[in-house]
Amino acid sequence: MNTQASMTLPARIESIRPLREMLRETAAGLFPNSSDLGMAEMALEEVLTNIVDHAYARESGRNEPGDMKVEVRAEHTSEAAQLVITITDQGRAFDPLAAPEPVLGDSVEDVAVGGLGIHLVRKTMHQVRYTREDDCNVLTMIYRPRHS
Amino acid sequence: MDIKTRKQGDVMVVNIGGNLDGEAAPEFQELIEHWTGKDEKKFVIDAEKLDYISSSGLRCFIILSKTAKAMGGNVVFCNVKGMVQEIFDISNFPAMFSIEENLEDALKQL
Repeated sequence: MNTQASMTLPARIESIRPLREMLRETAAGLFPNSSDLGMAEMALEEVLTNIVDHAYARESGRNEPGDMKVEVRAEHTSEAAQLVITITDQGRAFDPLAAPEPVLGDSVEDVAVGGLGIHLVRKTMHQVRYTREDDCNVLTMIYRPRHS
Repeated sequence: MDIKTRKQGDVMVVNIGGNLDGEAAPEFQELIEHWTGKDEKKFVIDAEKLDYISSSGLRCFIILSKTAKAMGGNVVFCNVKGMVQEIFDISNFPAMFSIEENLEDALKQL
């Protein structure tokens, strides 16, 4: 049995919480281990934060940011239970996967303060795909539990 | 986010609960500045009740640690579990920080 939901909100910080809640509700009961839901939620937060911060950044004097749309589908494939998250925005073209890997040193003095978010998304997700479609950024992420 | 602190000797024990996400991070950042501004430099972060963290939260811990070390102190974590532990692992935190099983062991490190 599959469950899905979709929501479109302005690309503002205060939109992130309801979008995360939608993910939690849609994926409730999908994974036996509760930390999996948190991991998927974290990846969504990272991507949305990036969109809020960068996608519509003071673009041509606009006051209102554009939208961000999140679609979540909880499904059971023959291999695994998985969560498919698709995030779409109409901001300037940006492929988060093209960003360089952050430097994660062995001492806290060496580590950079930024750049961790996308690293976490890459490490957490089973699959991440970026496409530019009809002037939109479309990021599709598939989450599968790593420990099952 | 829910924060309770207490002093144990010269160590500030910070019990952090709930979500340390992008929404909570600015408030936590202010607390860090407040503590270090009062010359606190030895910290135990007790994460027993911390349910959720994102990169904004990790960034706060990195800043706290950099600041504490620059002052001659340190930050030690304890009771890290669930998704927070997984995020710590993939962020290389075990190589960068002291992470102890429990509060007693954490205090011994400071």
